[in-house]
Amino acid sequence: MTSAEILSRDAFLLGIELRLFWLVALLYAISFLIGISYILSSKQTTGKTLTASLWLTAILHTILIIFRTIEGQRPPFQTLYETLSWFAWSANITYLFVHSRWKDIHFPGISVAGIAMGACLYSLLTRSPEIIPLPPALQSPWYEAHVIVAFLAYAVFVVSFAIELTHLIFEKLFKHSAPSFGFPLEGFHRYAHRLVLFGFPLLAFAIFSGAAWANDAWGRYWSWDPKETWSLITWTVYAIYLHSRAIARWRGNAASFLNILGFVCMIMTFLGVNWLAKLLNIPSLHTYAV
Amino acid sequence: MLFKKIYSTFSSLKTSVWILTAMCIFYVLGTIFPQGREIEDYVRAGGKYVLIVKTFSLLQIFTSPLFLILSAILSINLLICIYDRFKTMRLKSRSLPLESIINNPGLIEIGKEENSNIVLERLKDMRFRQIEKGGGYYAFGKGLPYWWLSWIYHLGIVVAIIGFLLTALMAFENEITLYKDKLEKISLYSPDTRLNKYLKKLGINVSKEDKSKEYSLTLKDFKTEYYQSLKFDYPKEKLSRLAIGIGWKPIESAKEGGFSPKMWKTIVELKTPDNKIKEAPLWVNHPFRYKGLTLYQMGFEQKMNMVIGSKIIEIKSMEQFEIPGIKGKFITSPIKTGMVFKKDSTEDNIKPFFTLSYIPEKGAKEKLGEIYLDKPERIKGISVVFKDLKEGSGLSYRVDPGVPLIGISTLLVFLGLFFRCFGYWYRVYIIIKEGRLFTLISTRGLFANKDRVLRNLARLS
Repeated sequence: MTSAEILSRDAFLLGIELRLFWLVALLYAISFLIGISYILSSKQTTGKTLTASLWLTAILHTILIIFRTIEGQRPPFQTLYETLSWFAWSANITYLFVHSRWKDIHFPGISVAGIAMGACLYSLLTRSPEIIPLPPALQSPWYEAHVIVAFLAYAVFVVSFAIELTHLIFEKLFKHSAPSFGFPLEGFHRYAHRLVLFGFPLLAFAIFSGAAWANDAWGRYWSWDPKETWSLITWTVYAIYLHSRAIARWRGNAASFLNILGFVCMIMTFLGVNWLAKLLNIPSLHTYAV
Repeated sequence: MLFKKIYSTFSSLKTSVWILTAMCIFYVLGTIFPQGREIEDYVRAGGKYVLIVKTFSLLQIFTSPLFLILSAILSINLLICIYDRFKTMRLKSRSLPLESIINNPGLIEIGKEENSNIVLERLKDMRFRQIEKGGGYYAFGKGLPYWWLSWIYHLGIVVAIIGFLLTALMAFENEITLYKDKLEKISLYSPDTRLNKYLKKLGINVSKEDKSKEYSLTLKDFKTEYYQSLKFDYPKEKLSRLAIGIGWKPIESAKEGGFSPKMWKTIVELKTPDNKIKEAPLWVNHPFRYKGLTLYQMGFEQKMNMVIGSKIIEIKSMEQFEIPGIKGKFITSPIKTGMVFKKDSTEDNIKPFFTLSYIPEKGAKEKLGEIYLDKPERIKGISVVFKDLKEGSGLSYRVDPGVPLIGISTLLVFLGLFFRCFGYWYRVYIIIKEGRLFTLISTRGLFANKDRVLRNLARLS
């Protein structure tokens, strides 16, 4: 095959992928809008439509992830274009998995749909979709384990945030009118805590595997690189959150606030740190993820 | 009295939370102020808070006295908590006092007294072991004791802090560039570690070298490998991207994108302090380890000769140089040489070339084009030949006595956290009172299912 033929084939495949990705983003947007109408109507059928829409998006997004993996002949989480898509997909899948235990509770799906839509649009509108082969620094046995576990932790934190937000909104704004949506408020607070408990060791593993990887690549397990430091901040904030649950006076709203702060720190680790490094001209060892 | 107060403050959970919060503030500051830079760089970059930055060592925040004091406070807090929890752990392994169980709001009635034997048997069938038995009172348990797991990962954090301290005091690293057939010596001893500097300040004699830790290195082979990179002209403009996404516009123009790095591989011949000869193959993410020595592949350096008439000038790639007779400076890209792995799955040797750019005394950098080695070129009217490429392998070596402790702490923290969060622990109390049967179930861990146990017991009785 000549270079021109390879390029033409790759352009064709990329065209298909992009259409699919735009469709996925559109479906997340539709799910989000259905969610808004669910808030306004509080009808169970609208809630069920939201969940069904997220299921349909999950199926298409899974096809997109598989397509990209085959296209790139490697796991699809190297560039920010890819990781944003992976982030949205894993958050949605995790939400649907968690949701399968609740059946008639659909409210947290709105936040998940909104976050996934934002991630997809950010990826599509600002990042290059080109498939880049793995540079030397990423060719490590730690690569897949580190990224997969880190994003699983992120996905769990997104869902925990969505649940915590639901809890706060109902408690503060809707003044305990949660029963009309069919769930007890305290149950939500507890569930958000259980999810953090699930994600916390995963984030620890992501940090440890990153340190082990850095030790193999550069001989320095910790460099106080902005991404490393923010991952430690996220971990510490969630550690504070978990400790706060054991302090009687902090168990309620203070704990909810810490959970939401943990989510903000997680977003900083994933995305904000890239902006911060650019803004303040701080060199980062994670430039390939920008 | 004062000691008791300090002890109770430091063993409190609230203190831990406040210390962790303070640590977070330091971490955030460490990502706002560029670490490891000089104050002059900060001023040059337009930094406004010079006095604050200087006073609080914000450009070296993670080695600043304030951060070290805070880390010491955290360590004391952790040590006291570990000691305090250790004392109470034996008590925890026992059951709650009967009175507190009876008065517990979580106590649930599950049936009548005559069914107690069935319930107790069922608990045994469910692999609960009996821990205690009293008059009309039974305690059963199952799973990993969570307080030990929690204790283990807190201990792991203390071990990690000791590891960090060892790294900060005794670790050092250096870089070395090896060229073929040129012997270089490195030592696993450095008089410039923080510990040695402190010892020197205290007037303790620190030796300048240690011959028993010297290694000799010779480069045997160095290879650079590239991918063939084909690029699309993907639009940056958002509406054009949307047009491609919905199929109104195809991805039309495409171009060849040159080469992107695949791997750098080195083979070094190593002479150990006891005169043993070893062959050390290494590449990125695959360091070579031998006893205390670890060699890492970091990059490469390239030198070549620039021949102008009878004049031969040695230049380095990616470094500015002058061509006699031309005002301004020149700079090359990395010289592409070695093997290319093409998109059509074939491999090819690259004919060495680089991109040359001209940097005028005034004005913007100008790209002059691709230059192939050993081929005469006319650059701004002067005939030049670039030849005799030499590639050096950029390696680094590091000695860090903190790493083994960090490894141990990682295992302690991760395994402790993993089993604490993903494991299960149950304590089931059965109370017989006034002809009725009650239970109190407490659980820990994500896989502990209180409702299932309760359903099982309620169904039987």
